[in-house]
Formats: sequence, structure tokens, C-alpha cells
Amino acid sequence: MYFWKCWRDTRRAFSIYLILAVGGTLLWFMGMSHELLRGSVRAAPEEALWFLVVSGGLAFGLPFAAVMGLGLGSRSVGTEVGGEGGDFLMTRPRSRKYFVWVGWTVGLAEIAILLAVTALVALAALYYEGGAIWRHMPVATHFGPVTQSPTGGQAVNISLLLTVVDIPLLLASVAVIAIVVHGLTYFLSVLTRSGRRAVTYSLVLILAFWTCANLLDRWGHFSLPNIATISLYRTHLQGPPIWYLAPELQLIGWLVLAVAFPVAAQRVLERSDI
Amino acid sequence: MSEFAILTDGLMKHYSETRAVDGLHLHVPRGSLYGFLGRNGAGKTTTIRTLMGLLRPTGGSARMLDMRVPEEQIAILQRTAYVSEKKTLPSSMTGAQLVRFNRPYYRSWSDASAAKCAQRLEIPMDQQFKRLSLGNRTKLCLLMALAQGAELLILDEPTLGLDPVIMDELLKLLIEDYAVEGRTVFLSSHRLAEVERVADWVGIIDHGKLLLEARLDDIRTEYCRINASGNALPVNIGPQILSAVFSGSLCEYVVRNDADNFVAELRSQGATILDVSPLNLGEVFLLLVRKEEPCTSGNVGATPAALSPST
Repeated sequence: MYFWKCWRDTRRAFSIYLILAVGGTLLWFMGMSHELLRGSVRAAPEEALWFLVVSGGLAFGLPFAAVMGLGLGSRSVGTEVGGEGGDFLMTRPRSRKYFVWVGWTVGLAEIAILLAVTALVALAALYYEGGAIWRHMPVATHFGPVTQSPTGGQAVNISLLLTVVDIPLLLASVAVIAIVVHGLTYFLSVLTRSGRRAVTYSLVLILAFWTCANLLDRWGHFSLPNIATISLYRTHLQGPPIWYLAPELQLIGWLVLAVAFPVAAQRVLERSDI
Repeated sequence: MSEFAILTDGLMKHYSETRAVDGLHLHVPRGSLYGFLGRNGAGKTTTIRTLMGLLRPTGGSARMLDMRVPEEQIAILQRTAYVSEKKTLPSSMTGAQLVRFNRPYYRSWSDASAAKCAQRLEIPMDQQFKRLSLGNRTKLCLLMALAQGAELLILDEPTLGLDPVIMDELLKLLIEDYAVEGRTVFLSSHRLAEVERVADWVGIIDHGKLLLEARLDDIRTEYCRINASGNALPVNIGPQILSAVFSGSLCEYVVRNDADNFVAELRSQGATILDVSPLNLGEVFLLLVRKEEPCTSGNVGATPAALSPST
């Protein structure tokens, strides 16, 4: 029954994210494709649609995944304990481990559904505009350092972006970023017993990491493992850092970290007074 | 099977310098309706929360229904119902939804009991918990506990916020549904009169220590007030004399055990016995937990050291 309660507590946020994700995807593909295919830019049709996938993924997919992770992770058994109903919940005949993992699983399932629905909507939009273009997915070919910014001239922009971005990795990184941010926020909400504090601390940690990664990359010529730029790793690196792993292995590492968060949350809850 | 539903052995819960529960030895007999009394901050709620597994004990041990706390907590919770002092439930759920949520956790859950309780306590089951008044929140919490059909019912200040009519209904429910069926009720309360009405055992806690644990009937027979007059009433007080308040040639003694012997002794010293009457629970409670020094206002020897628990 705790599954039902978790769903009940998060369904409003889930519905809002679903509307935003589906609506945003439709608007992005319908609006932008019109501009690219029939407007002033007039790129090649398949290239233009893949450009939409990549630019949408980078510009909106990754931030939206993080926001979704923050929102859905901020509801946990910790917030119940910190608010009303903690005594009631913690005196039901179930272990604290059960409550932690059920809450986390429900959040994960909601993220999976949101991503799957969004992907289906995107596929439908792509199909509507250009047929089954996924049969000819562009492959990142620009190995070695990139000297020209992908945000350069518009004509170069599209083709260059498609040569430096690994599309499957980009799509996977959107999912992984949502799962990792969800796990982090979930853990912090158990630790702080407050959804609001969890979101604040998560944002601070993410921004601190992002700033450090950028500073080290720019000034120290050292790249921290970064999910947001993982799809560029094969082509964008100045040189392999000492920790370098294949991007797929890095994603697996991030997923292991994502699972470590509920484990830590369980330990925290089991060792604390209610 | 142990004869005790709750048994603690030197149970402790400390918060840095504060000893909220300090070596508690509770013996709650199975099938009893046990009143757990104490002032604010005496350690009642901390004791209960520790027993329910919400707090981790600092020391000592506890068993509930022959199971170890907190090692066998899930099995304990399966057979124990609890109403917390806070009286809070998930706020966005209605009473009916809470029943639906709670039901699958318990094999002994009774919808009939829930319906009966809702009817008798007049609980609006279709309103969200957060929209209920304090009294209705309390009643809904009680419904959740009572419908569980648990062997042991732990109630922390259950009548807080209830009007006298509903309080009366609740106490009847407790007696009819629980005491009669041989289940154990552990009831913490400030309201001595309500405890005296329903309880058959009483424990009094202060500063985390148990001052007294006894059958209520034994308390009534053991603790007596003796009013005597005379010119040379004894001031030298023995351990069974808990209090002696002088007013001119009159003295009011409070005696524990051997009241008859003490009366005979007073008579042998020329005193006139005006009255011998049993103390009620409230008077015993005040006597035990009052802070004044001995003999200044009638609290001689009323310290934990002077009172060995009577079982």
C-alpha cells in the first residue's frame, strides 16, 4: 500500500512534468521543424530533424531531466518523518528499508514513464515530419579536439553538431542525469527530512560540481566525469584525463552512484531516531 | 509465554546530558489496562517511542509480547497498535483512504471494528485529515489503532482534545473491546481521573525513573491518610510514613502499609484518631512527584529511594 501512497503523493508533480515534457516536445519538433524545413534556414530534411533531436536533447532534455529528478526526488519517507505522519508510517509493520526503497522505486518508475512517453512523442513527431529517419542515424565522426564552437555560424552549426554528438549517448545521458539527480535529492530529503532543503542542497551541489568541472576543464585542462557532456566525450576531449573510461562505462558508473544514494538513505534512516 | 506484555529492564534513553529515560523497570501484565502517569517531561512519551522502535535505546533492554525491542520490531508492530502523542496521520488522506491504506498491513484488521468505532466516535470519514478538528483527528487516530485488533494497544495521551462525551465513549470502547477480550492496553495520560476510572494497574514515572508500579486496588488499600490530634504527636517518622503535616495540635499523616499498626501506636501515645481514609490516585501521584522538601508541606520520604515498587 505504500506504493499507492507514494504514487498518490507524487502524481500531481508527475502530471505536470508529463504535460511539460509532451507539450514541450511537440512544440519543439512542430515549431522548429517548420522553421528548418520550410523556413529561412532550409537544411537537408533528415539532417534538420536530427539536429532537432540533438539540440533539443542538449538544450532542454538535460536540464529538464535534472528538474524532474529534483522534483520527484524531493518526496521521500524522510519528508514524511520530518512532517506529519512520520510516527504513523514508521510504526506500520515494515522495515525502514522497505519505505526507503519503495519510495525510490516509485520515483524511478515515474521517471522511466516520463522519459518513455516523451521519447514516443518525439518519435511520432519525427515520423510525422520525416518518416522513419532513425534508420539513418548520424554517427559522430569528428574525432579529436574540436576547435570550432558548435554555436558558430548556422550553416556549419547543424553539420558540425551532428559530427561531434553521439546521439545514443546523449539520449542515455538524459535518462541517467534524471536518475542520478533523483537519487541525490532523494538521499538529501531523507537526510534533511525536508523536500525544500533537499532541492536547495541538490541544486547547490549540482551547480558547484558544474562550476568546478568547467573551471578545471578550462584552466586546469582536467575533465571531471560529467554526465551533461558525456555525449561529446568521444570527440570533444582535449586529451584523455587520467581517469578516462569509455563513455558507456562512465554512464554505468553514474548509475551505480544513483543506486548508492538510496542505500545511503536507508543507512541514515535506520540509524536515526524518528 | 511471559505473563508480561511489556517488560523493561533498566531501559535508558539519553540525549547528551539529558536522561529522558533512566533505568526504567516496567512490568505491564498481559490483559491489564495499565495507566502510565507522569508530569510533563517525566519520560512517558520517550519511553513509549522507544518501545515502538521510533527511538533507539541508549541502554537496558525491553521486551514486548515476548519479543525483543528493537531487534524484533516488525513482528512487534504486527501485533501492537499505537496512537502517538502528536495525533498526526498523512494529512491529504481522508479517513476512508487511511483505512484502505492501513488494512493490508494487519492480518487482524477489522473493518467492522473500524465502522463501529467511526459510528460511536462520530468521525467524518470522508474529510481529509488536515481539514479535521483536533478532536476528530484524535478520534481518527484511535480508530486506526482500535480497528487493528492488536494484542497490545499503546495510547499516548489518547484523550487530548476530546470532549467529555466522546471521551466517555472512548473509555467504554477501551473497556468493552479490549479489557474484556483480554488484550493489554498501555495508556499514558495526564488525566488521573480517567486513568483511575479504567486502569487496573498504574505506573508513575518522574525524571525517567519509575516511582511506583502497583495494582490500583493495592494503591487504594496501601496508601492512607490519618488525621490525628494530640499534644505529643510523633515527629520522628518511620519509613512507612510518607507525609506529616502539622497544624497546631492536629496532624495529617500519609502512611504506606501498616496503617493499622501506626494508628495503634498513635493511640498508645495518647493521640485521638479523627479519621482514616484511603488516598485516591491523584493524591498518591501528587505525593510522589511533588518537589518540596520533606516535612515542609507534607512530602516526607516521597522520593524514589524511599519507595520500593510494589508489585
